[in-house]
Amino acid sequence: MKTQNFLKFILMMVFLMGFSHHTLSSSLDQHYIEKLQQIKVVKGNGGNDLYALIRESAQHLSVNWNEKLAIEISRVFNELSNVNENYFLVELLAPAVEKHKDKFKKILFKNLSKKNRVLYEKNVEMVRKEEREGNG
Amino acid sequence: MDLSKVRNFGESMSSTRWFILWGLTLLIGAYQQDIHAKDFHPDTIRLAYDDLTFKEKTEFHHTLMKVLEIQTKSTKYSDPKINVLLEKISQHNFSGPDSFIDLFLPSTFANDPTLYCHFGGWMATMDNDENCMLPWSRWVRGDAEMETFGATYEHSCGGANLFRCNPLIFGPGEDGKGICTTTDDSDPNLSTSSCLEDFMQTPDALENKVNELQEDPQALAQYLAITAETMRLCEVRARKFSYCNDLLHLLESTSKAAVTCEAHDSLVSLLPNIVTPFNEDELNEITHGLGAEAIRYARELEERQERISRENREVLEEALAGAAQESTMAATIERIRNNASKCLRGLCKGTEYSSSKPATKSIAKCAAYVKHAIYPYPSESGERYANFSEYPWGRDADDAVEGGNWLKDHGFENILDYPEMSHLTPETAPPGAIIVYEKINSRRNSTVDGVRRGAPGHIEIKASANEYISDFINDEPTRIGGLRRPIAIYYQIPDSYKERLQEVPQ
Repeated sequence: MKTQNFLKFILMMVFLMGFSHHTLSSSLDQHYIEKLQQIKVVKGNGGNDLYALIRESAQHLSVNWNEKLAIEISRVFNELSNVNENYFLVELLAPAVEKHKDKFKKILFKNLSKKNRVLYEKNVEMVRKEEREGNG
Repeated sequence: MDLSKVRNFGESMSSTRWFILWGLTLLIGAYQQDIHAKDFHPDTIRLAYDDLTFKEKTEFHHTLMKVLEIQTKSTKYSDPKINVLLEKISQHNFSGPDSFIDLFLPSTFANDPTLYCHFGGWMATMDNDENCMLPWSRWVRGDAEMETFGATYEHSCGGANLFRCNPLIFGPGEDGKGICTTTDDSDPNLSTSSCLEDFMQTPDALENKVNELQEDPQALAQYLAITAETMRLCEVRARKFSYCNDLLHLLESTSKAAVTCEAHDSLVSLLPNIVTPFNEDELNEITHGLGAEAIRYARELEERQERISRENREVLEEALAGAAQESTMAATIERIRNNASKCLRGLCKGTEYSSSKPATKSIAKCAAYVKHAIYPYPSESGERYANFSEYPWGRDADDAVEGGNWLKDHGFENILDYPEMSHLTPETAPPGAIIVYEKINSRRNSTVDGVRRGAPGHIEIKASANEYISDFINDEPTRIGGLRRPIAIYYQIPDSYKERLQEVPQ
């Protein structure tokens, strides 16, 4: 009886610790989703603040997969690509692409326009080339 | 605490109740404990004192000593009520405290964290029970404050009951690393006494020590630091450390003999490193007032440093303010602004562009475009920093992150290397800057000024407050949300400004 109660106590503690971790990462997911949802249209060339948001969201997504977050990142990236075609912006998505290649790319391509899909692939190749050959 | 009650409580709680309890705890969060007057209990004080940081304890102790000193001066010891207390103490042969102060302080406060103890000539710290820690222990050797007293214990004598005495105090011994004395090396009193005895038996030990210190001001400063701290220790803990009388006599007499008029100047510059609010009086005593002079010197030096740094900063800001208007840089800026929409010498190969491109679109050739602006074609007009023949193309060309290598060859300097200007960022740097970035999380590195940096990086010229230009025009620094980290900001500083810069005295 005593052993049973002890085990029950341990299981409860493990559950509670896991629950608190889940709670924390869920709240971060929500934070990034809400921030991205506020962006309807991208003005100018986007700007470093927006790039940082996309990069941090993708970084978070790489360790805490959340489909809704993936969709929002992809949607905002599409809006960004409409105003800024620079190759280096694909680096912002790299953490999510590397960790969840198939899952994320599927969602990304679903949310990119046809033109931006082509642009994305070209820019990925440009980043690879620059890594190999430099920019001098 | 009755554990059976706790167990019974646990067994009676259902899973749901545990969850609710945990949830409530989360909601409430951390709670604060307020100490009210009615809770003023010695145990509470001890807990509060234990929670203070070392710096806070030091400040508290210092303030307490000052208050008691003031109180002592204003106390009329002829007052009968005071005398009654002192009489009672002497009647009962009260042997507990070492000093008058201890009488009024609970034992909690008796442990002065600013006191150092002696262990065979090596300074050491004391543990909570005021035991002198072993000088070779990592807590003592790793204590940054120990640098004040010179080298730490390093060379063992290699045998049981053999102790290596500090050569700074007791001479070099046979092998130059300090006397090896036979003693109980776990006891600071026995070790120090044994070192003293062996030292005094060495012929001409004292004279040699004084000569040695007179020839080495750095060593003399360290010796004085040890003497001052030993004086402090022995003033309050002579009963605990039986070596006090003899050791103090040696240290004080040697210190006073070694401090000569000739040593004054060099000592005054070294003493600020060792003088503290706690040992200032002792240092003044053994150096005939040099402690106060050293503090004055340090204060004046600091003021001079601040004034010169401020003047240097003004000169550099003036130099940078005009950087974009300087003729060669002005020509460079105009070139790079015009080139942003051009395809230079086949650089657009592999892209959808042939002769021209959008000015806001990069083709991953930032370093090439910046170099081209600095080393223009001979046919292009405008002043230039160098001939085009020096420009390396293609695979041999440097990455952007290595931009500093070729910029330095043509008189550019990284303004962040000047301490007065290290606060500058790409956003705050005046136009005319050439900004170099490294690429974070890169799979390729370059060594730049001895540091591994992510390649290829990025380089651009700040043409105006909202123009950052390389192979495209950006309206803000090209940080790419943090993926490019600025590592250098280059300018060419005219000689007329460099001549006005002053060296900051150390």
